[in-house]
Amino acid sequence: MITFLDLLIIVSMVLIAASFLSLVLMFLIRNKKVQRVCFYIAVALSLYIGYVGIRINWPGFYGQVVLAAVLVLVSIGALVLERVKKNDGKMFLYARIAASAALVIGTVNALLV
Amino acid sequence: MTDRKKPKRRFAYEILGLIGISALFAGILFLILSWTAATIAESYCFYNDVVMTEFDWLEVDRWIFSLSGILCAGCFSLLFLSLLSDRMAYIRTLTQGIDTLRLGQAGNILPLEGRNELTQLADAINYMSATQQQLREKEQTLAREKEQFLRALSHDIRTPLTSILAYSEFLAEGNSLSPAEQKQHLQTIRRKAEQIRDLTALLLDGNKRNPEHFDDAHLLMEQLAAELEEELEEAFTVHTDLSGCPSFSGAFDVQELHRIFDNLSSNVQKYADPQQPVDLSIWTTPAGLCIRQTNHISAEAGQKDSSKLGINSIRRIAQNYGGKVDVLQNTEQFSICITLSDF
Repeated sequence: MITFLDLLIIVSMVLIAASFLSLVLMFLIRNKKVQRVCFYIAVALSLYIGYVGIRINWPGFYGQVVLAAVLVLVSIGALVLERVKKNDGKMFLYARIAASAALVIGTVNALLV
Repeated sequence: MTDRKKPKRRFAYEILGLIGISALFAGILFLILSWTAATIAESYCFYNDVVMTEFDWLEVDRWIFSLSGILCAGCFSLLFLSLLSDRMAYIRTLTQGIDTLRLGQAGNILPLEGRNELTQLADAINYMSATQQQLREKEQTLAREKEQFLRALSHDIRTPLTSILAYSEFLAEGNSLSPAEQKQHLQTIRRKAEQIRDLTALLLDGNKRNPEHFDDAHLLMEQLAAELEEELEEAFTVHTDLSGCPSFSGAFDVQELHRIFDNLSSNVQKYADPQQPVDLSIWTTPAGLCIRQTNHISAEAGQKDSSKLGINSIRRIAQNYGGKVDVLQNTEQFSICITLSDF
């Protein structure tokens, strides 16, 4: 029988695997379409991880809550940057870096600290 | 084609590299997953006061490793296939390039990515495409030149033909002509017929030139000027000036010079005002031989369409002598100056 511990581990592992894969593909693949899809997945995951970070650290761990909120804002900012500067390769790179940072730090903040 | 004798990196090694990268990332992911999952499990047990035996921990560890392994295997496959598909996209680009080439749409330049066999292939396709483009352009230029040549020659054949028709009609009607005049007109008809024969031969030979050397080309110019005068004397007053043309030597294709003077004569007959004199000057300069013909334009000339075939024909002949043709024209006067340099 699957316990809450098992579920927690499964969900966290799937989340981490999906995040890792989207990050790697976002930077290694040259196809712009795939890059954008991976970027949107990374942003969605970072938003979800940010929400989890706020949800599980509230109340009590306010520093981590603030950090999670900031990371959510960073993800939204990356998304806005990508949508506004659609054909600007440099801006898209910055947006990808921001989304990746938000996802990695958010995962560490929500699951490991 | 760029110098790419040997690829710097083989495509097979690139595939191995992709496998290596995928395996590396899968390994890192395995470590992250197993460590993260173990940490989460410990934290969960610690904060929820769950007491687990050593056997339970072993069970959890086995669970974690199995799950991490499955996820990593999936990630490895996905990553490798994605990277491979990314490289395969270049093969698709090459295939499209070959298809474009097969359809005869030259000028499609493929991007040169990487340094492997595929890059060499792309380079070869680009080379073929460029060659095909050059061939097509050459073919088009040749076809255009051939068409221009045929048009000019057809025009030049018509000019003596018109003279023959005119003189033969004149002979047929002119009962009052003296035997000497009749003989002169017959000689002109014969000369024009020979000219047509030579032009037809030129048509068959494909614009083959036949320059002859003249020790005293001044005499040749005199003869050509006299023939022009003779042709125009019925309707025009021709002033010829050869004072600036002393004796000189050179190689000329007589047929080409005849064509020049015939075209001049034809243009005068079509467009010049018979009330005004026609001037013809021939002189030599350090730049070469200059032939200038000027006339006043008749009032009816504006109603006649000109395809400029005659002038274009003269221009082509002048180019054979490394020369040029300058045309000055206003509503009243027409002037053409032909310069022949290399003879």
